[in-house]
Amino acid sequence: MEQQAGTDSWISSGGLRCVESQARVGAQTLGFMRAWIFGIWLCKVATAPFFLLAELPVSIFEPPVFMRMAPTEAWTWLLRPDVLTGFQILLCTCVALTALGLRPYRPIAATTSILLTFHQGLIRSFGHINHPEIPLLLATYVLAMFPAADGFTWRTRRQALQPSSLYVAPILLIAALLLLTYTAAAAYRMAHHGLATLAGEPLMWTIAQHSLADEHSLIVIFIHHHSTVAQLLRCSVPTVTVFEWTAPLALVSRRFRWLWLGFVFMFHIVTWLVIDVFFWESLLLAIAILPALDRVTAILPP
Amino acid sequence: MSRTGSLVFSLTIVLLGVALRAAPYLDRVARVWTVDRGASATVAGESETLQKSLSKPMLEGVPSQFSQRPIGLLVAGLTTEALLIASMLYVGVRSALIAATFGALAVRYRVVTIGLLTLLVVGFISGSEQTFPFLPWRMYAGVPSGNPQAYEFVGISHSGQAVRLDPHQILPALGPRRLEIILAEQSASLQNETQASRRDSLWARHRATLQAVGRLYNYRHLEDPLLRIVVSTATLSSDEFHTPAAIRRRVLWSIEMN
Repeated sequence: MEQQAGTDSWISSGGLRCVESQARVGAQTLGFMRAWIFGIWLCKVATAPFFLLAELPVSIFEPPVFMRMAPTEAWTWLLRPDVLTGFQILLCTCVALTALGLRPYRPIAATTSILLTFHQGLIRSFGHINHPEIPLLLATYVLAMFPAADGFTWRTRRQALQPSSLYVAPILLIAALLLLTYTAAAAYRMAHHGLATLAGEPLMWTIAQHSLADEHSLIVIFIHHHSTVAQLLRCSVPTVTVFEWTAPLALVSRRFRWLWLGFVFMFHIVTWLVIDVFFWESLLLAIAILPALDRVTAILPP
Repeated sequence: MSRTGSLVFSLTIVLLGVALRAAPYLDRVARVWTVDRGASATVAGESETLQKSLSKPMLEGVPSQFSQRPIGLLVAGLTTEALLIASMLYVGVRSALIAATFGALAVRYRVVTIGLLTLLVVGFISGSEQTFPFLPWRMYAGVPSGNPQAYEFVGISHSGQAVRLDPHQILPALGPRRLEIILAEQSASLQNETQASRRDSLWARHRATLQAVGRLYNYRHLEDPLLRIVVSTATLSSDEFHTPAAIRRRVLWSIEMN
């Protein structure tokens, strides 16, 4: 009944006539997310000299499963400085074209996503697999599959817009992929190491190890001299874990979304200062995607 | 989506993850169960051989056991993990906004959405380093055994100056801390390895990696290049993490630059 009343009031306030402008807002917001995400990738890929990877010994090169189909000779050829530089230039060009939303968008974006996956797989072939870029990488898959270049493009053109759900869905999906990674980390911690997590032991151990890596870290010395701060950090672990676990609630509750955004900002800054772990890619994604989600859900009918 | 539909969807995805995680071990569990049940009918020699074979990895990439914890705790943990993830999935799927948005999509977009979510969640529960980019997220869970320990890599230059090497600064393309972790893992493996042949192969890889790090450093410091790199450990007990004075250092080995 309540939903019907809301729909009636939306229709009577001229909501149906606004379908096109809603679609435009959706297209612009999704286009902004495309430019933001591929812009971050461009900064990452363009600034680090890739050809230096050729210096690393081949004996520590172990590609992930999806890259093992290539024969050994292919890797020997690829891991040459000139080829790696060529690959970096190609990747930067594709990422830039996708960020600008140039046509034909789908093939360019799909190629860019594949090349980015290969780039990240190549980096991770040298000994250690870690997580910082994963949500940002998964976001490129979503952007490549949905019409993310109908707005906020380099050249404005008259474009037949799609239904607004086609612009809202990818924003929701990118947000869900990001938020679920926090849920997964918390779920594992609570399910397999609940008591240690409650006592804050892993954090204290990690701070101790960080103090070895950076023995003159002012933060670590400060924590030592202020036992209350150490206790606060230890006590914050259960709260942080609950916030991580409940992250997907930010998809459905506007109030929680802003609360969670404040939490995740503090969380990444504190972990950066205290244990020198900074997932800045996830933070940049969160501070763009959650307000974007707020914007597009506001234009939807009740 | 209806309440039942949402529940089935959420549980199906996590159960798929649980099944894939357990699958490589089912054969082993069945064999252990058979050994327990048929103990009276098994001669001692056969049992011993079987135990030996069970302690070996039976499939490439599958560890000989789930973990050091008892199987009951492990199953309880896995169940709880799956339920915690499923509960949040359920909350999302049940939301009117999400249901309406995805319900309005064409079938191909729905397939893409469900496919990505499934891969992600299955990766959380049953993924490994091999399933990149769908990985498990298990960071900072539990306390590693032993005291905190770090490896230090100090270069000695032509002029005799000692330079603490920052692997990330030397090879930024690998990303923060990745090269540092590679070197630390190699050093830890070398310290723990007792078998001579394996130690030789580990040593060759470690030396090649450190020499590469040294070469990359020398490209930018032609005026005072490194002659050798000294590897040492820094340790402290977990209750005195704070003061530099409490840190105990031990030189492990050094590697000459060619």
